[in-house]
Amino acid sequence: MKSVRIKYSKEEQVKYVSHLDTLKTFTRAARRAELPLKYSKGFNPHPHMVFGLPSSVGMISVCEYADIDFEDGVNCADIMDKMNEALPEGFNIVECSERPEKSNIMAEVAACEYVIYVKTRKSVMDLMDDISHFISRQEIYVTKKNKRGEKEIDIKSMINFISVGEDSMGTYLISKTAAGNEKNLKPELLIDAINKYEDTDIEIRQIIRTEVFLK
Amino acid sequence: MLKDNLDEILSKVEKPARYTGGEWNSVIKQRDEVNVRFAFCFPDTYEIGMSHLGIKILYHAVNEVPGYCCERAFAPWIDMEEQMRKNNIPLYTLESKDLVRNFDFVGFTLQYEMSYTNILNMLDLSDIPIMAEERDDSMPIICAGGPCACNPEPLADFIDLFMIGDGEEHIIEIMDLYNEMKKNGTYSKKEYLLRASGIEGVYVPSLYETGYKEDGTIAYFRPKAEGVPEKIKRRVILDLDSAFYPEKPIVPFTEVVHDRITLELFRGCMRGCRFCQAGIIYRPVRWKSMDKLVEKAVNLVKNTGYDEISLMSLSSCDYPELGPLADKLMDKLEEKKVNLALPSLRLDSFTLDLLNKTSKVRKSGLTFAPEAGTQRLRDIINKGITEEDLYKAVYLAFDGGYNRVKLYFMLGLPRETDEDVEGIAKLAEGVVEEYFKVPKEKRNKGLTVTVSTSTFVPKPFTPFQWEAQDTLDKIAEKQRFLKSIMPKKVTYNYHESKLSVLEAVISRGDRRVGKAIKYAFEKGCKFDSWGDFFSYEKWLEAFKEAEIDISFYANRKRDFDEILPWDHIDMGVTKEFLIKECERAYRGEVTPNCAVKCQNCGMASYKGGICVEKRKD
Repeated sequence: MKSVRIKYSKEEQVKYVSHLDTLKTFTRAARRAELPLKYSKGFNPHPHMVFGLPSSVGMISVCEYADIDFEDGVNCADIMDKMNEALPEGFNIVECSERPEKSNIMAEVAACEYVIYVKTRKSVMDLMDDISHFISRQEIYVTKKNKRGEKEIDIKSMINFISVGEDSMGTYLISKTAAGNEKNLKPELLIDAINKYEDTDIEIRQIIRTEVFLK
Repeated sequence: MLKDNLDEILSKVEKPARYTGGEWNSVIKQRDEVNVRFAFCFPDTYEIGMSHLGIKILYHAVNEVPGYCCERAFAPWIDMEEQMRKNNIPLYTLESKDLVRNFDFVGFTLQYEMSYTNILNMLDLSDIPIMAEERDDSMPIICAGGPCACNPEPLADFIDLFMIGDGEEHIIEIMDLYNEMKKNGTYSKKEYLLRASGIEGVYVPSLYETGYKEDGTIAYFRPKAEGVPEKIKRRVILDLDSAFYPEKPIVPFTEVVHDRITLELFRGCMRGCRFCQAGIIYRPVRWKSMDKLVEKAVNLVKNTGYDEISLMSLSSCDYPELGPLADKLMDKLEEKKVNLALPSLRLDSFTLDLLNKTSKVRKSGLTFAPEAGTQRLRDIINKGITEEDLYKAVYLAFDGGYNRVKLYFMLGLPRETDEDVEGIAKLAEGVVEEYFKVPKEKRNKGLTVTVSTSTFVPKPFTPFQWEAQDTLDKIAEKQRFLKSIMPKKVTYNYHESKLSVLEAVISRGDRRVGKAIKYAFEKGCKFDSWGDFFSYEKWLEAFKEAEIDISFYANRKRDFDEILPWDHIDMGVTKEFLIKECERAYRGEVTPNCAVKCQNCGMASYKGGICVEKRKD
């Protein structure tokens, strides 16, 4: 068996493709590329693929990871070339390397960096002040919703840094926050928290995942 | 500009990937390499439209032609429409994101009558006037085709041009004429439509006039100008092996209803069930050769990456070499983990062997359609299957480990009596008994038998086209009766037949019915076939305002000599044949299928398909 980890980008054209549909898209691309996917045994064989941290619908990403198992006899360069030819425009594999057989990307994600383009009435300078006020707080409680209901949690420890900038596309924040199975802070929730604690009116225009940090 | 606005609204709607295009195998041509542009509009959601075979064929057939392009638009879901209207975003195509109204042609496929309000809504969303007479030369030509185009009259006020019959060559011809007239500067909408009416299979409703008798029936129907054909002859592609069939169909990102390869085995159906419109309007049976099918299947798997192939036709068990075809396909594709699916099983040709070839090892449910409860009524509708066929088939299935069976029936068939309704319950009982005949150790636990009934809708071009539909009350009474006598072990599903009433009015409607469709649309009717939005009350108001009497269209028995609204459409099967079949139905006489004996239905004049293949014997 050949176990590989790929790093790929999810660009503007495909940013509305959901996590589940992304998985399907990669399976079909591998089949079109005639790469020998490793299938599970049993009545309903399915390929072994694990996609890292789901990105929310509408998010652009230049750093997505997936673990895929192939049968023996293919090499990483081949996989990358053939997959890229068979993937719809907007998905682009930039790295492919072997990984230990039992490793699992989902268990290894530790943190994420995002660039968040925003709409706000405030100037960049004012926003900087708000943000430094925000991160100097001792505790930051927000309501996190999941299937079981709502929960008040302190996200302070999940925030690594936040900075503010501006370019031709407008005002943006850069954030590094905890991510993965244990602690996970979505950028949407972070913006909600800023608006809750500070006198800000930040609306998200576009989120770009720029880096995923592994343990 | 559209792009920026779009981005803002897409983040607010459900499943936005339905509105962005960019799928694998979608075709995007540069604006400057294209002379004639066709916007293919499917009057339902993306999920339904992308499951439809016709759009796949025509989309790629047009895009094969240099200089022509075909792009897609679907009915946006309610939330998306709301956002589009609020932000002044007209309907656009998924490929270029250009506005539908900027195209040369806008084409709708007519798959079911209850999508008609969606057509008007999509025109309106495109900023295109819905009335044909209000559209000038700057507007696209609005055309339509598909099965419901065999009675185009209810849409005559809205559509400029109908295409009757197989479309893959036809659509290119109407684009060719347009291209030529644009090039030499002779184009005007009026002149184009006049000339297009000379292309076989084209129907331009504005070139015809009609009048009515005092009793409401049609007095006359005729061309307004000389040279316009009195009858419009349906287009038929006889050699499907050499006809265009897409080998690189679009692979959607998001889940659609039929998310798999569709391999069309043949067109037409030899059976001649008397209630079935498809069984008549797609005649004659035209088979594709096994070798061609295998070749296509292999290419389709390679080009799409799908892992399932549906063997499609109106009655796939009637494909003469179905067993060998399945074997060959599995031979070539098994190692690629490809499954075969067989969507239309017939009771009399059911074998477990076939089933094992085509379905996954998991024993899921099976669906059969006896259609009527007694042999007498099954003979009347010419559904050539017997009680023994059903019992044999379900026994085999139970014996093979299946434990879920669904049975489909129709209520309100012509000459139906209480006994026929009772017969449905008895058949269901018999199916349960077959289960218990299977030795305990062989059958799987947890038997479920489900009976579903739908309401019969008389359709144009069937031997029952003159029949009256049961009234709402009558159907409700039959449903209650059936429910009261259904065995306890059987689940009975049915729903209100209001939708079937509207379907009956529209499917056999004349030009006057168009007014009611317009009013219904103006009252906000859309997605009528989606239970959540259907408003019978609004439709009733619309009919009232249009002075349309529902019972005149739905519940009235017609005379054989009445001029029917679709008499000027020549589908190939003669009226004499339909009358003969109707009379045989009344006598309870079964008519053998095309493979057994030619019935001289009229199709032989096309000199192709099963009509000539049989003659060779």
